[in-house]
Amino acid sequence: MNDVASSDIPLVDIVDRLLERGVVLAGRATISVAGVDLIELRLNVLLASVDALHRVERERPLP
Amino acid sequence: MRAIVRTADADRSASTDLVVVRADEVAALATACAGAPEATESELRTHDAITSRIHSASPSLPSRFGQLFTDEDALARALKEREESLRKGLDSVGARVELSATLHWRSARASAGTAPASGTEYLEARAARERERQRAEQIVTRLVEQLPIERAFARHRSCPRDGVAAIVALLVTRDEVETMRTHIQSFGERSSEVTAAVHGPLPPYSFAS
Repeated sequence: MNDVASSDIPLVDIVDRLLERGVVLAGRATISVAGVDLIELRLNVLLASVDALHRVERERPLP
Repeated sequence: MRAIVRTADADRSASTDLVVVRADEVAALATACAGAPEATESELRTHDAITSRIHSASPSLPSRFGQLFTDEDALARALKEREESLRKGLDSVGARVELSATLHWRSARASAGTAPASGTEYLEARAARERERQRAEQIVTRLVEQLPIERAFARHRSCPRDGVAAIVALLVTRDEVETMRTHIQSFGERSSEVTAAVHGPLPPYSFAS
């Protein structure tokens, strides 16, 4: 049987997976870095990393 | 919160460091903590290790990092509100695992990080990124067509960052892991445009929503 293990994943991919994917319940999610709360979510608002937000911005059609 | 499992599997999946919060058919596994977790490498890897351990024990939906509930009652209420969709999610994912294939460009492409010096440069860079994205989409389509997998069990993101054509997530049974890994690696070796790095088996983050 293949045990599920993720130690071989580069950090950049872990950040992508853990901050942008996975099940989200109604609740509160706070992402803090170095003691500073960067993002707080309530209810089912989806969380996106800064990189993802930049990507959406880049791909948004011009008016 | 760390993951969602079927209530019947909760005891098997839990360990002494986890709190089990039960609804009728699904249960949440969580870690008691005093405040919001910080997104440090250590905390992220710990969360990943815990969700991996849970998914090794029984089918689960791994939680996005950083979801904090004030207490077990708050988590129980949230669980109850989404119980039906969580149960369906667990049923559809089952005991499958995720394989992650990162397709790296063999040669340097347009960089999104370089600030354009003029409007023309901006438009040229934007056009180059769009061409790169379209090429990445074609490569992913070709890869998935060559894999013995249903299209519904593959998800991808094109050009997620410089140097990467795509990250492809595949939902596979444990028996399919090595076959699929071999297929993907062979694709990368034969491609003149991308190399392929395969990670996993992993908890099904890309298929849990």
